Amino acid sequence: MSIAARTPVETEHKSPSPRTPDIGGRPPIRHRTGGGGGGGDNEPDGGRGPQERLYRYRPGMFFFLAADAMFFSALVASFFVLQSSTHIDPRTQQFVNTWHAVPLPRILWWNTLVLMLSSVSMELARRHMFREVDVMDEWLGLGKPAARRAFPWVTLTFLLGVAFLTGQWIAWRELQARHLIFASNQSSHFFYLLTGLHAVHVLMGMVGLLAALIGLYAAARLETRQILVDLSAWYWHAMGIFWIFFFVLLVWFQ
Amino acid sequence: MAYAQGCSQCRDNVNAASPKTQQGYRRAIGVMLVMGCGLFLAGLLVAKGYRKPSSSRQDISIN
Repeated sequence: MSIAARTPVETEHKSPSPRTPDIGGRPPIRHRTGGGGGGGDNEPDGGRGPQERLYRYRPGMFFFLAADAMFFSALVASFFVLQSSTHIDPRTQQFVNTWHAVPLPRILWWNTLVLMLSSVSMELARRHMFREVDVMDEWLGLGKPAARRAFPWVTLTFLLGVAFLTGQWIAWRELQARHLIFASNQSSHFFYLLTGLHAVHVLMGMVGLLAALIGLYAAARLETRQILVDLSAWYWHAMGIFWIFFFVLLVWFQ
Repeated sequence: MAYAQGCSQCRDNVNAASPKTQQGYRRAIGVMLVMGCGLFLAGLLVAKGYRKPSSSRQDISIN
């Protein structure tokens, strides 16, 4: 019985691909759906179930962050070129380098720690949004346990983001007190450029966190809430990685 | 003569620069190269992970 039932299925596997068109460009009869929404004919090809939208949004975020990473790496490349650029002193006829390393304010170390902690709290929030038991409860309409658990961690991340930006502001003020402003020399120019652009990106991330916080309560669909927290988390982690990259550059490669 | 016309000026500039500047160019090219290649590879991995399953829904109709 089972052998007899299996044989026709094997024959089906040897048949042409489902995408091979039949007469009139239509798919073969056995691959046509009956319409009316039954038989999965409303699902896109290769559907991934309830997280379909999430899996569509994530690559979008990846390519956005990849473009951002290339932008920052171009800045770092110009940092290396200008750092080592020289001109000939007409008096001595020798190469002279006018790059003066910026003395980094001590608070930058604390800022780095704060940003790392915020990354940890954001990851905890993201994991709470995908905790199977809570997700199932939300899906069944039994409250919003996942959102309720994630909310404090997203809030903490937001507050740590505020602390990081405040720390950066204090660092800039400290340098200004030492008369190191944007136009002082090439190294200070790069310091303000890198830290300033990174701060703008962190600010954008905080707008994303705010949207996630609002979405945790206001968004009707579980998947929308997951997407908001998940994408904010990936963005936030990327900002953390970028900052470590810049910090290492400023501390050890000036 | 026509070979590398566009680059000859850059090459002369870099050759005339001090060894330290040349080292800076090498570092800068390294940063761009590593980041570009890294992102390209990461993109390939992402694309591979998101590839449509070819046989997710097989027809098992029995005649």
